[in-house]
Amino acid sequence: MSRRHPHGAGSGCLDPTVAVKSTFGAEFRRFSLERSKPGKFKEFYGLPQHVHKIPNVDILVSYADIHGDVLPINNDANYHKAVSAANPLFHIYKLIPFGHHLCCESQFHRLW
Amino acid sequence: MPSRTGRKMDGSGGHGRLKAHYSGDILITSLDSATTFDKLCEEVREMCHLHQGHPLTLKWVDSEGDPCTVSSQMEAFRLSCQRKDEGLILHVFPGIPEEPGMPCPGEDSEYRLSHDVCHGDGLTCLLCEAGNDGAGWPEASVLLAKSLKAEWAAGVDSCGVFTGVLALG
Repeated sequence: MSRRHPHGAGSGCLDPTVAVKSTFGAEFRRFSLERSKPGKFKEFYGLPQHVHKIPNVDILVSYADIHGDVLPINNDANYHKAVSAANPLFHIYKLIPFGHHLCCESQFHRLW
Repeated sequence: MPSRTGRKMDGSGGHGRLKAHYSGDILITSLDSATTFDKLCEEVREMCHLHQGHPLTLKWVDSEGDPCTVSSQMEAFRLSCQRKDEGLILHVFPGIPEEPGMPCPGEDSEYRLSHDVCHGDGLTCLLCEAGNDGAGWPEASVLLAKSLKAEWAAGVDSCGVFTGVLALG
C-alpha cells in the first residue's frame, strides 16, 4: 500500500512544524513537533512509546535522512539534526531487541 | 514539545466533513472543526451505533497511502486542514489491536483495493480517495471491491453539507 519516493531537495523555507511519522510493527502514528523547540532526545524518546502505547518497551529509534539512509536517534545531537533536516516530515522507526515478535521495517523518507 | 495544535482540529472554524468507513458502509457527517479526540470518538460511536465506551480504533490514510491511527494529538485533523481538504476520511474498527504494533481485527480486509487497479472500472483505491478533494461526492466512486454492490441513499442538510449513508451489500 505504501508509496515511497526518494527524498527530493529541500526548500529554502522550512515549515515551523515538523510532522513525524512513526512506525511500529504494522502501526503508523503521526504527531507534530515545533521545529524551534524540539526538546531533548530524552523527552522525544517517550513520544513514540506514548503514541504506540508501549511505555515499558525499550526501543531503538532511527530515521531516514534525505539520502534515504536509516540513521539512529540516540542523543540530542542526532535528534536535533533529524528535526532540522525534516522538510517537514520525517519518519522514525523502532527496532526492538531480538526475541520480540515485532520488528522494524525500513522505509524511505518522502517529501511531504 | 509536541505541537500545541495537536489537541483540537486546527481548522479555520466552523464545520468540516467526516467520511467514515465502517463495516462495509460509508457514513458521512459534519464535524465541528474545534472538536477534541474524545468528542470525535463519541461522534463516531454514535454514527456507528456503538455504545459509548466501546473499544474503538480510528485510522486515516495519509498522502503516502499508509493507514495511520488517529491519536489524541489529532494530527489527522491538523494535516487535513493544512491541505484544505474538503473532508477527513476515517476507517473505523470496533476494537483495538491485540498487541501494540499489530493491525486491528478485520483490518486486512478493509483495504481491498490496490492503486494498481484503481479507476479500472469506476473503483477508487484508498490512496486516490485520500487525495480526493471531495468534489463530486458522492459521485466519486466509493466501491471498495469489485464484488460489492453499492446502493446509495443520500441527503443534504440545511447548511448544504452532504449527509448520508452508503450501504454496501
